[in-house]
Amino acid sequence: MPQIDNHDRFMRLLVANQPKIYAAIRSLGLNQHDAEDVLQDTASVLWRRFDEFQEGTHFDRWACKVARLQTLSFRQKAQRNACLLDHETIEVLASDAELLHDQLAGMHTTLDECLDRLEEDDRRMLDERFLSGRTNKEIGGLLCKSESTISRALTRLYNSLLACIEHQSEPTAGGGVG
Amino acid sequence: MNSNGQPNHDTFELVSAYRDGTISPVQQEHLQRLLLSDASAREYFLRFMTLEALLEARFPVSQPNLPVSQPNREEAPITLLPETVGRSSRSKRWKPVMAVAATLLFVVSGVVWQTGHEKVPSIALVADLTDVSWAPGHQSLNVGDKVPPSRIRLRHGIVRLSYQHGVAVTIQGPADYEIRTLDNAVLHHGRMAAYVPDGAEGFSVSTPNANVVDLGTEFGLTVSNDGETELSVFDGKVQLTSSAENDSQIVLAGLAVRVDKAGRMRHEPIHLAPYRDARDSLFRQRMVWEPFGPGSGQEFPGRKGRGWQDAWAIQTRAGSIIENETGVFSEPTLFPGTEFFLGIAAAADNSTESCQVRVARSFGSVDRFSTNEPFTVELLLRLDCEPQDVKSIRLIGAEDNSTASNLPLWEFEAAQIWQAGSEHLAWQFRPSSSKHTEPLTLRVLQGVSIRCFIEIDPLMNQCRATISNRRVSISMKQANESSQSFASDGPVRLAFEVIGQEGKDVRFSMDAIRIQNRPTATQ
Repeated sequence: MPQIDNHDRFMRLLVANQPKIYAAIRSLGLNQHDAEDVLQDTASVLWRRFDEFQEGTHFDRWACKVARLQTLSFRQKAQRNACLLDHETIEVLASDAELLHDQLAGMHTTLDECLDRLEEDDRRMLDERFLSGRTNKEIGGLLCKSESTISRALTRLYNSLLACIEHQSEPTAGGGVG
Repeated sequence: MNSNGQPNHDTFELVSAYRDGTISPVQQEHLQRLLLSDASAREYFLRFMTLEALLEARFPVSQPNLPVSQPNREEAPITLLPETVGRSSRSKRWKPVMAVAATLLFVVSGVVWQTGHEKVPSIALVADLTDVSWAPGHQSLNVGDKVPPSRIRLRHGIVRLSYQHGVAVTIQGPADYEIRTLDNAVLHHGRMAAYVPDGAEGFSVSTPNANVVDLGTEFGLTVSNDGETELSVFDGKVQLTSSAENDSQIVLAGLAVRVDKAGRMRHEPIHLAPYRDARDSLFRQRMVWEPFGPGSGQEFPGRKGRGWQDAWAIQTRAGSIIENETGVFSEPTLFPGTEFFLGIAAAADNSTESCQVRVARSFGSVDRFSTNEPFTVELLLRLDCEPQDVKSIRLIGAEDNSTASNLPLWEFEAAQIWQAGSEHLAWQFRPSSSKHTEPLTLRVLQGVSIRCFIEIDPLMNQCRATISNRRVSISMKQANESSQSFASDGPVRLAFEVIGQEGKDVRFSMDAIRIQNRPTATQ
């Protein structure tokens, strides 16, 4: 049945590109929880409009675009929310993200390699943060350091990861087809 | 960053505080101004947050403390998500991802109504059983069994059969009903009611002295011990042929005809009361999906045993649980074009966070229905936590597409909802069987979120379930085929989400899902 094929195809594309789509939403400043909700909305919209998707074009680009629009519409609906950037800021970010799409989506592919190069301590910090779900404060307690030290260390770590990713992706920047 | 080099210290601080959720209102103002005015700050923000998102999505890279039991090859990747449980005071400071390692046992296989691919041509499905006692020597049937051409002999009770083409028949014992073909059955004696939907007209039932051909309707039929046939037409019309007189006539709704032993026909007022139970059962649903696999009845997951003290009672009324021990819910009305959000939560006694099952927003596409008929979705859910913890079940959600909506729609209290012993862990994975269970045991370390999508297509009589990540995780990357599905296609998608809490086992299995067209107002 064609619809099954279609659906399977969709699911494959969706799954393969989900990190990128999630990142597209999250990078506009939504917190995880909201980003996950918007991701769901986005998936729903993508599936409904899957007919419009042209085989051979970049699924991730299309999907991230939809995701950004969904994010904006989410922002519009969300009433005052102190934790969110305001609509205008998100709009500007979204339009930049559109232009930077290939680079941002490409981060997905280069991150692994950069993670492999991490020092043990940095590695530990990421593990504590993401794997064990500890807050900076808790990590600080573990490592006998202050919360702000951990926060700075994490930011430093992020920056070095970002630098690494950029370096890695230089020769072949660009998002793949989903 | 990029070619612009490192952002200044301010940007660091602000973005990092934003990520951590520790940003103050003043700082946030500052950040927004910065982002609006400075393209390189925006780029940095985008990259930084993209990295954050990818890390959230990717971890755990290593999986310490993991029970080794990896699921069999076909496991669905399960997203392990943190959950800001409830709306706690901390909710503003969303927690960083606590990616969670868990033992997963997710079995998805099985087929629903594979028309044309059956080895044994089964015709109908046992959709419901009420107080059934089988005739001596009769093989006992279970809900979910597929029935080939055969005789169904009941001492008492009610059996509902759901035919592949949508005909629903309830047989009320004592009765002897013979399934011959998709379009023909014999009522040797006893009472039955039938609903024949559009498209299945021509369904006929023979009795010792008459033949009834349905022309799209609902009717009741009784063959008494002394060999008389009585036909009551509740809706639509029926062609009745007497075998003796070879006389044929159309019987319209509201009329009854009795055919005596000699084959003579006599009009009577319609008989309603005798058919009440049979019709009740009939209208509990009009379309049935196989509850995940024929197999032997022993293995039907809704049965007692295997740690379950109670069997499923697959019956429900909109918005209420009939039996305390079952988790049967139904969303009263679902209109095409509405996205809906349905939640089921089992709240714990001492804390509201111990264990939950949620059915999340439909994964779109209710509006793909071509029909304008409202329909009902029924879900059967089974959720284990510490049995003594479970005191109430809540359905939460709303019919709009608001994701923020978390309002209880219905709430039920039940002293004992689910009870399962540890043997329940023993669900077997049998790739070769078409049995469909989706047992899942999670040792929850922090919080998990698992999605199970179900698609239902009432028009096509098809159902499909997809187990999927709510969000990306490392396992998605490894398993390219991230979704497992059974059965065929369908436009309605429901998403289940199971949320667990640290230190708790959460077991979740979904035994059946049914969907029905809402009975018309005349019912």
